[in-house]
Amino acid sequence: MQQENRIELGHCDFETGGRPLYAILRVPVTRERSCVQQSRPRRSQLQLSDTCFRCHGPDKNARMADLRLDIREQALKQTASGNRPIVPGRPSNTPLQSLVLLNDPISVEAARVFAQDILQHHRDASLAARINLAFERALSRKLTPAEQQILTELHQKNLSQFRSEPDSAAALLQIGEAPLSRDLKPAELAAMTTVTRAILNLHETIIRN
Amino acid sequence: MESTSHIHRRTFLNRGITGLGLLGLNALLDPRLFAAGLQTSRGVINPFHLPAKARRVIFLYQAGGPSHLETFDPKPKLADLHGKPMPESFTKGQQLAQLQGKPLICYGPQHAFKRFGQSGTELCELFPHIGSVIDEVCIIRSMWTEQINHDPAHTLMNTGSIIASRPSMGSWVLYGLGSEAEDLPGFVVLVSSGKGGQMQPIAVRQWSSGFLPSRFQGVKLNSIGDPVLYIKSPEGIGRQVQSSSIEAINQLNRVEYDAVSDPEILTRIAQYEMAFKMQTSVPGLMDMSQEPRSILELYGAQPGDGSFASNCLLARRLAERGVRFIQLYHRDWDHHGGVKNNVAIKAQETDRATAALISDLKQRGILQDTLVVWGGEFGRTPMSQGGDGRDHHIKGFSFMLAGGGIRGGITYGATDELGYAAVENPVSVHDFHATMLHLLGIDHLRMTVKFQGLDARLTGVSGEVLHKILA
Repeated sequence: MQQENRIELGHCDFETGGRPLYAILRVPVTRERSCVQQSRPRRSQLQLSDTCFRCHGPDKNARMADLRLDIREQALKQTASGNRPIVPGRPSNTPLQSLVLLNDPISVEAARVFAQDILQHHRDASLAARINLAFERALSRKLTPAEQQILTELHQKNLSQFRSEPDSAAALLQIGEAPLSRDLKPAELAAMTTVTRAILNLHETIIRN
Repeated sequence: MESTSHIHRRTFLNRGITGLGLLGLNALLDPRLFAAGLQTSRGVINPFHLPAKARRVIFLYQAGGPSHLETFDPKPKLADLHGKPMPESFTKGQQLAQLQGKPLICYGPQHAFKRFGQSGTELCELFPHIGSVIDEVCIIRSMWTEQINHDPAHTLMNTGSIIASRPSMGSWVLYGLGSEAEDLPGFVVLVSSGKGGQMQPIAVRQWSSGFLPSRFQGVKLNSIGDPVLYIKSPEGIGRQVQSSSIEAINQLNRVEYDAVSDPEILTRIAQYEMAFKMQTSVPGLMDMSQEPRSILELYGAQPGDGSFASNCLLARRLAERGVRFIQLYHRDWDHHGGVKNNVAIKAQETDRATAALISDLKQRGILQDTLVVWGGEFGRTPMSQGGDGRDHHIKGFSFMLAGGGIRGGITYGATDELGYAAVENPVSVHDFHATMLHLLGIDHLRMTVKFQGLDARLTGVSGEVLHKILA
């Protein structure tokens, strides 16, 4: 009967192959930013929050068994009973994961903040230098000329698209809760967001080795 | 860090093997193959080993262990012995689950059986709709399995092994034959739960591709809410920006593949392409507004309710779109208690929809090349558990097959007079797999993949094709 009582990965099955998005993006989820308190739907985490976080989340008073599943380290650690609450599966490689990494608001927000950071802190840098900075920050290596060209073309194509469609740029930049820097040109930020979004979706970024 | 351009010997060899795939092209041109009447597939089985009768599989997986004694296997003798001790000759030394060491009391079938169709096949009267299509159907009454707990039994039924990490049958079939669906995954999984309220998990590894490349894994669509999360592009990202972004991502991944030759990167590229196609195809797949009222009523489906019935209708739509392997899990069949009422609930949930799927496929002319399977991971004991339930049981249970090369209107095999053990033509999980592959044009002995030094196959080291159930 132990089989039936055990918490399986399938129990908290989310389409990033069992890895919370915060684990994939390697950003810590702090108490302030855990999903339970988020007002907008971020479903890849909400699936966990709906079923698990109420009793195993940030609320100290509601917490059961002194177990938190909103913190990756605790969720994976062996408990007193000898079981592990969550056992990560094989890294996912499905179209469902692609859609999450491309379209989930938290992914888009991460790309936007990433782009914002590059533009704000490197105001005088060339486009090539900015793309290189973003790439190096995500992948810890310089990009090759071929890679540079692919991302530059993506940027140019999307920049003209967003310049001709300012509403689209505005809509894209509104995604997420992180403050938006108003001093950047929306079309430029939106175009750079598509570049950082592409970088955050690369196989090399998602997979560690 | 420099990006590496070193290619490992093994990777190089793998690349060589990919190159060998081109040899399959020659098969297309070989006149002998045409003469033999064998088709070519889009997978590694080229040409087909055997003439294929079925092109796709719809597996209606009843998870939890349906009682054969209240579905497809009539046992009047068990009714006679109701309340009396189970004869020890049946159970002595046998593996039991929760009844181990407990007094074993016969528990008669809780619902009457009736004859249906021209074949006069006996079915539990709770399944009149299946009864109405019984002449399309073959009931196997002599299934047996090796595993008495759910998860390992699921694993055996899906992968032919109890060791997790083997490819599931859907992955094998997709690997062997490829997909005919251009814009949907070739192996799709749908899960529904019933009113029984049991929420036993079905682990995602049940549709894993194991040691096969991960592009052959099953893709689960959600039955409730959005079938696929984030199927829409973000606000402000139009089709052009999305398309150019995915193109750039795939170009960059291709650059990495050229440097490191990790085949997982090829899967990644394929999945991003598929994701983009699914952004268009999934809304069309899910748009039930084109389904006439009569069809919704036939299935008893209310689109979007996440029911087994809705999933059956969706299965037909997936089949029409060329999806190779469609697996529906319907949960809540684990009736340790209250088997009488609980099976009645399950019958309500599954009987009409199962029959509707079979007749709908038939009226569209695709039942003849669609293999429909209905069954779970094991059966249930003829002995009572707790006075009104049945325990897990591995020695005998029933399966139902229809379509794609199956002889309709027959039963195959039998359990003993109390429904305990399969005694006539016992059918193992490997026998079932061998037969399924046979119908798809694959010789189960010849579809092998080198793994841990062995030529691994879905059927392990056994498996006999059940020729008597073939049309």
